[in-house]
Amino acid sequence: MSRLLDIKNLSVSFVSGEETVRAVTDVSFDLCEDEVLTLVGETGCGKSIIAHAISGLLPPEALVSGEIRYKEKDLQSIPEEERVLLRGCEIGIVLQNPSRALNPLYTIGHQIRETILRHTEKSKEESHGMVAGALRRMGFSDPGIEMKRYPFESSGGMNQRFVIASSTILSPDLLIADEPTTGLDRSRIQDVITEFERIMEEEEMAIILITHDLAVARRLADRIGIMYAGEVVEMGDANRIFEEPYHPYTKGLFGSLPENGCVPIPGVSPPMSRIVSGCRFHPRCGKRTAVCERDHPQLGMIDDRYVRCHLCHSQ
Amino acid sequence: MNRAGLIGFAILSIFFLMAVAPWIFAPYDPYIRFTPYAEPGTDHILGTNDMGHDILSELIYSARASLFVGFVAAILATLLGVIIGIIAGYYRGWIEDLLMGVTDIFLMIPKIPMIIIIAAFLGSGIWVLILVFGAFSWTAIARIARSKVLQIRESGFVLSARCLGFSNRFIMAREIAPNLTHIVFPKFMLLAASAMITEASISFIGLGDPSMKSWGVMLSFAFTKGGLLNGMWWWYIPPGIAISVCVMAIALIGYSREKGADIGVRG
Amino acid sequence: MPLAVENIEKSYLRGHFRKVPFDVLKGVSLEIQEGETVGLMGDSGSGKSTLARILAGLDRPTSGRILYEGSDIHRMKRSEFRSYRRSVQMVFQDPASALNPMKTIGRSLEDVARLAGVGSDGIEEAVKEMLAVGGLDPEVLRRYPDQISGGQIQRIALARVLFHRPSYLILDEPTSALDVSVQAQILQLLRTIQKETGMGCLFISHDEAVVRFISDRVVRLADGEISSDEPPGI
Repeated sequence: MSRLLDIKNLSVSFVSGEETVRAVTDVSFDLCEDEVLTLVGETGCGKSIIAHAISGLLPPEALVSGEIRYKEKDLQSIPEEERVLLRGCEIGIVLQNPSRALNPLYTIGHQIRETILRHTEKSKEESHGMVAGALRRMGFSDPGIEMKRYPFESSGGMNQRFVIASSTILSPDLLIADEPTTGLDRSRIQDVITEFERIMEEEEMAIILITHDLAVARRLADRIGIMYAGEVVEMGDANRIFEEPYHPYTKGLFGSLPENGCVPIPGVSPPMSRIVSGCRFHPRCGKRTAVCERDHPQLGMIDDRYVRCHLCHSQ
Repeated sequence: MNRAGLIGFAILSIFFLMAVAPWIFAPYDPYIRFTPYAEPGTDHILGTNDMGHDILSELIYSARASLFVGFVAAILATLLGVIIGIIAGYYRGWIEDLLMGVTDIFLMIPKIPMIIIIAAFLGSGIWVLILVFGAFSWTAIARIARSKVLQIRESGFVLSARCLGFSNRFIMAREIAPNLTHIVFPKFMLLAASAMITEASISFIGLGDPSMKSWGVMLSFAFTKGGLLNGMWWWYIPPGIAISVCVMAIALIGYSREKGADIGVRG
Repeated sequence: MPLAVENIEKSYLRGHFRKVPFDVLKGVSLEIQEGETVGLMGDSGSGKSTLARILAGLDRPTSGRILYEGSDIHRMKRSEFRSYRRSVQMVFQDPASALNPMKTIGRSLEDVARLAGVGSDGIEEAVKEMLAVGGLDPEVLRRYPDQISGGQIQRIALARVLFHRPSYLILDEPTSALDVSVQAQILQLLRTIQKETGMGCLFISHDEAVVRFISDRVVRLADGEISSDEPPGI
């Protein structure tokens, strides 16, 4: 399997007035074809920013350093026209807030067809068929009706599925999905998961899935990366990590699930403008020692995964 | 507030100062009679009018009347509009239908002809102007306020206030109304500008109060006393510029908040 | 005394030119005992929020009764109804609009205290009490809602409604917009409060695991009707 995406030392910060917000600090990972990497974390951990950085959709005030290589191309230095061509054709993007991604003036059918017509040589009839197929797989029993709908006529959940259909219809090599199941009912989440599973089976598509829904991550991920305060704290095989988390934050996160008794992690997530010294999680960690308060841990390999924790490495 | 808004604010502040303390700026009392028909010169920068009043002093003292009419009329219209809009949007049902129906009727009535008609009965004067303007210009604000209230009334904090048992009056005045400021403020400023222009127009056609000094009255006399025919630009251009600059300053302030007025935007 | 819902029906008129009646609730009956947490589940469109609103006195049903202490709330005198309103409180889902964005947290809390009749010398004490209930730091008082986190907002919302010592609390997806670990904090807080006050709770959520954790009984609503009413199970 070749490496499709290679992220090295990616850092993103925003300056607002006197404060610098370090949204993402020194994140590195790679992604192979046909692999599903899930980035999991809570609000403010930086996972969404990474999705925006790869898609090239960060606001102009963002300060970015590091490399984002897609098929050996540095995505940050290629011209905008090339990036636009990549998006939709080779890189599919599904972002939060689907209703904003859809143009209110055109029908759903028209918008999804646009993608096909723009990037390929297919005829209108062929694209019509493709759109109908995609919509049916998203759980719509009558694609004909849905294609004539306008975005404001449908619910957020429906729009979410339209957007997913629209970004996957050309079978891109890389799909970036930022919170694709947020706000959907259980049955709709199931539809989305089924569609992702179908994609994973039938197509050779690498997927970066960003979600705070651990159940979805568990179903779909090959590899999982847990993020906290802008950093990756644990990354490796998803099944292994779910079975036996190493990092104290990962343990705390899984422990706070209702299935596991809603055991809360004490304290609150740190504001991104004030970075604590040492390990970023140490104020909330029950096992912290002097080293944790002083030295910032690096991401190192233990057994089958990467962990960023002094204590884990010392065992 | 963006930069354009700050410029507008600065300009308007100067006009306000002129309105409040004209003696700081004006070289003379505008009612003193000098040599009439004087051209602009070192003694009288903008010359004198047919009564011998210094035009520059007139111009500065006129700010008071124009701004007073503009803002008081706008305050009246805004208050009426906001109150009607909030009541209609909050209570809904027949109250809303009734109030919005009334709003639609008032929307159809043209202001200036109405002022003329009422002035014919009640006599001319700035209070007639202020009251009539206020009584007929609240409709746009009422519409906007109501539509925003329809949105706000379903938010958690309003529903919560109802559950907690706060009175309807409290909810409308203290929970809903403050959240309308962002939407209402630009409209208020533009109403002020509109009222100023209406005053100028009414005074210009001679229905204003001739004994008062306002830019519209100055324009009116500039024309009726032969200023245009005799090429005495210093009679009509200064008040015209004053009105335009003042209105522009108001517009700059009114449009200065570009960020959307969603609930939750405080600054 | 339980809070009883008897055969509630609710229909709206939908459509622009030709108004068609749309039945959101089609004959729903259930009971909430004191000290009990009833979980209410259902997809969007099932009518659970509508039922919650009717219970909270924000909407009227098209037919059916809500019985509180044996009396039909819609036949109560104004003062009785107001006291019903006070004893059944509601917490809403979206933290972004749960508090008045133009008021500081301190102001929002003071208003609640004043409404309960607390005099100006008692306000500070009352606010402190609310902060303690919500597990909040006093420095939050000077802040506006857009400056604090979703978890803190829900704590404040809880503290506000609990000040009036309600007998029943309706929570409409209170943690759906929160992170998992924050949700855990809020749910534990809720549990503690319920144990201390003996309130009956109606907890609405679409999340199976959450409902199972917090509820004594789970009622499922589908298409405006109750499809099941049983203990959470495994």
